Amino acid sequence: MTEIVHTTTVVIADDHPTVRAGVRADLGDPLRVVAEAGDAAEAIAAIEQHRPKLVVCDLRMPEGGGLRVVKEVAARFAEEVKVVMFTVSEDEADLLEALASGAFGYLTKDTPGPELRRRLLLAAEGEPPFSPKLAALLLGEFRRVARKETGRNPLSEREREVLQQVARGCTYKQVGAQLFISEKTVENHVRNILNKLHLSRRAELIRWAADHGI
Amino acid sequence: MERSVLVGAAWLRWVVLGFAVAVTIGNRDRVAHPALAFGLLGAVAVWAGIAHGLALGARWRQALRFEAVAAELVLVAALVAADGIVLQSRATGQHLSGAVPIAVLLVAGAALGPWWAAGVGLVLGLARLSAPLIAGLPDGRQGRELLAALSAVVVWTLVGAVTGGTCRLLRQAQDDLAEARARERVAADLHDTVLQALAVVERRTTDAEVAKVTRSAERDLRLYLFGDDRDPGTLPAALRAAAVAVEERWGDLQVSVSVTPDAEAGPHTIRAVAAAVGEALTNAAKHGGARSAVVLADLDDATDGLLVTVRDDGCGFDPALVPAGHGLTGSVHGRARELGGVAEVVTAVGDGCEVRVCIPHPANLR
Repeated sequence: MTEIVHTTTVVIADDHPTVRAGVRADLGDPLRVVAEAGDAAEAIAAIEQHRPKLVVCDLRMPEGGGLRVVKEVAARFAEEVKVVMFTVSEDEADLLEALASGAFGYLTKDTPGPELRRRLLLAAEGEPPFSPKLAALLLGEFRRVARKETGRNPLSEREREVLQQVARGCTYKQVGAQLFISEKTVENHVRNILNKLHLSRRAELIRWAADHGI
Repeated sequence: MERSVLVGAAWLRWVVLGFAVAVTIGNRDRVAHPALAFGLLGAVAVWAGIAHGLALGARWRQALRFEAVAAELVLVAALVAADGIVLQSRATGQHLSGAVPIAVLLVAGAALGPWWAAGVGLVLGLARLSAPLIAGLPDGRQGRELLAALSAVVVWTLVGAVTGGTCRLLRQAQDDLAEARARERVAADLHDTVLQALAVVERRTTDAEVAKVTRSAERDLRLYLFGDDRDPGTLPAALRAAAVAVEERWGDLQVSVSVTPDAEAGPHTIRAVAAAVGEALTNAAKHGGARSAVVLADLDDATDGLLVTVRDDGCGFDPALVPAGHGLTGSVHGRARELGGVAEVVTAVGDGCEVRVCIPHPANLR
């Protein structure tokens, strides 16, 4: 009799074979790697075929890069497949674009193996991997949006506080303790913040289209 | 530089000497002691020949020796002093020596520096002062003559000092330029080869240890080639470099650097903030035993300035037990104050430590 294990299927997309091998070695049960891809086209083909729960995806890849994978997945498998960006720290502008286009979260390539595994498991449960670096990027992004919209910040005061604390390196638990709210509430705020990022990008696109008579 | 001064002085000597001879010949019926006058001018001419040969020859450094300058000084001082009995006593309004002293002042400045050159100027000035005294002052003009001679003492001393000072500055500038050129050449060579190779290895390797070693080698090389005063680069680059330096020194600490895209500052602020962050991180590792730290540079919404925080997961400390102005608080506070900002340390035992530096309006700062 076989034990029923709730496995999480993963596709690894990176143009460096050594990186792929490293990630594969770090995962293990219940994370199961169903395919590896060396460029964006291969990654999209693998996702179509396997419909994995998670995609660990590099930003800089041939055939359109991680951004193309994110956009394709957002358009076709939005609720089903979560793309987690796996990058070096230098790719900030592209990273923001990837998140706004629907990437689920982001991890840096120097994340230690056990931590990588833990964060991916949490991601499968629905908690976006969210680092201080990402929070700082979002702070800047929302400030930019607020300036354009003449002072109206799309974030609530609370959300901004949460973002600031996370950007400083506080865990959700520490943020909660400081703002006198529960850890769960902090998580909800973070999810709302990411949604607002997608929304604000979409609103910007629509406005751009209107301005250009499309 | 000294060579050009010597060659210039060599040609200058002929010109001023020619002028002095012409003046003397033109006033020959008023020259009191023609033999003395032409003898001295002749001696100066001989010296001009020797100095010319030296300056243009292979052994031109000989002309910079103390003895050479002293010999010329004695000759010229004698010429200046003799003026009193040769021409000046006849109230011609002309001087026997003319502009001859300029050459020796120039050479003294280049060869011996400002103090000696000022001394040479003083000796020439005193010789000039002795001329009317030797001659005996004509009635009714003593005051004017003495004043003219005294002002010559002051002026020549100053000219000597200024010439010496200028030569020294020129020499320094020349040395600096030569060194900078040499370094630039080496830097250009290494930049095209070694630094490129290191950058490729650093970016392409997936081995963290190799990347770390390469990064450290690249930083050392850049520091050597471009010096400490080079442009610190962008704020994120400077903060990341400070973090990497501390990580390398304290192997257990992992630092994450986040900079919001709108946090900006001038090079002066960047350098000081990076130094403050380096100190805060070092403290986190050394005293706090921290394993991870987060550096955040963000726009401070309240003041529109720059807010930099360094938060670590170390053991923290009781701020009441650390005397003010000591260690972390002292150095970080000092740097913040330098930039017109403030620093605060938020910590408690067992609860990590957060250092916050707030600099108002960084765009206005250098």
